[in-house]
Amino acid sequence: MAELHELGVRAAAAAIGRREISSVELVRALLARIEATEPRVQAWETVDAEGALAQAERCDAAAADGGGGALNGVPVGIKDVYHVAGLPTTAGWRGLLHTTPTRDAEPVARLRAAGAVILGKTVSTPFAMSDPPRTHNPWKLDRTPGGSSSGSAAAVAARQVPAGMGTQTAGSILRPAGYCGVVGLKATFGRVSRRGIVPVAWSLDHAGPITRDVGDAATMLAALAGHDPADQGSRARPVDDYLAAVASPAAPRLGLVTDLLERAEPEVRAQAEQVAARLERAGATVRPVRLPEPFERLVALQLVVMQCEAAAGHAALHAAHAADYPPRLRAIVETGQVIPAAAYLRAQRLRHRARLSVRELLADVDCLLMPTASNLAPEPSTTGDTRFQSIWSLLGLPALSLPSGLSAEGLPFATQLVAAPWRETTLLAAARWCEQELGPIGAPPMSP
Amino acid sequence: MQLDAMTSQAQVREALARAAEATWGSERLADLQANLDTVAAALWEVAQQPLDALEHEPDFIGEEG
Repeated sequence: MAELHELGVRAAAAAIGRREISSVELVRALLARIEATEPRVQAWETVDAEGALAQAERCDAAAADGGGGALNGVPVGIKDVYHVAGLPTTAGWRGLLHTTPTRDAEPVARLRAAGAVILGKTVSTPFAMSDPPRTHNPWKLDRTPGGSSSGSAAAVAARQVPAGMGTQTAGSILRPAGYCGVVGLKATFGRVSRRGIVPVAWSLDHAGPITRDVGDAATMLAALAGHDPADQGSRARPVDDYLAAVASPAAPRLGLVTDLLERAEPEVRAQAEQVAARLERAGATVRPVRLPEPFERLVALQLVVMQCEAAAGHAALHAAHAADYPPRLRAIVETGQVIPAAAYLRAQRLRHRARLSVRELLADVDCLLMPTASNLAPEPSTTGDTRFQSIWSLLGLPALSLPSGLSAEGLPFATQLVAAPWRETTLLAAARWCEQELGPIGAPPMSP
Repeated sequence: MQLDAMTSQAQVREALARAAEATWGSERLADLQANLDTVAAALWEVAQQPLDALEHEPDFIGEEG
């Protein structure tokens, strides 16, 4: 068997279920891994060793009785914008928001119900916005892990935990997953509840998992998906069989989004074209497509909506603590408050038109294919380029980032797939097929 | 700010800066400048797109949500 810290979600759950390992052993191995690597990675806001071991003991007892859910005994890291009962929520900014909730956020509650062990809270950028985190990219410590789900992506990549939870308003699940060489999944808006998560922008916020492979992402989504009447964005749509979707996927029909290739850095564009050619040789249908709306317009719409909603959400806190705000978030809140309401509503009208036109594009392909970001992980004064992910957050479409290779300097390349609304099974099947063809990139070269 | 009456991105930028200065004071303008430029470009892009008055209500979360 692989070293315990190398086990992914399904492998860990299966080994615990067969009682080959115990959840307590796994938690202890991960705590040791965190102790050894955390000084370099800095992915965790709070590690709940005592609480995780107590949860693990209960999971081992359930396994001994032949019970436990699909995630029984599997440790998960939770981005520190989610409430976790008994652990502080800082939202990445200890000075402004520091509460210790008594109730789990709905996604955390669903993970627990499936048997997951909450190992702790992972680093978020301040309020899940664009001010950089203290977390380092495990592939190159002098590069950003991306943001805002910086800690979850870095921790999963560094083999500190098999899965993490992220949130995405612009590109905060897929981009850090891409920069850190792991899988990030953002389902259709409304598929995963956001109740109990500190909001950024109500009509754009998504919650989703970060894992090491597509099958694990499907397993996490199966636990997370479902209607939550207490989340106004949640929808009562049937939950599909995500695990069946990844079991034996067929070669997909892919639309290679040339608008984004043209805006990618040369190294990223060249690799994306190589990926497309490789997938086509393996049996996928790949044809070039263009966005039905100008790329810059979609980026602009997301920006206007996000800044207005973030400004509204932060109005009271900013009024009391403006001087304590991190600089980029403060600029967003102060700019957002002077954008005219008519401009915000115009953006929301144009958003509706864009949704309709992009849906037509997705009628003829299973998924759109493109690089996850325009660049490889940049230096750490930024969290990277959000534009290739933010347009899909605007449109509420399901999207997944998949590692697709390593650059000459050892940084992950990442490929993004996007499907039609509520077609998570199509997305996951296509992603699994691509993953099989592209192969794994392995772990970052950090020891131990 | 009358976005529909503006004829250039520079006009949008100036109007946005005036609104920011009136709200937050002139001492904040330097720190806001980069974001004001980004938002002005986005607002100009949004303003350029024609919309039929009878179509497309604001779509906060759409059918997806």
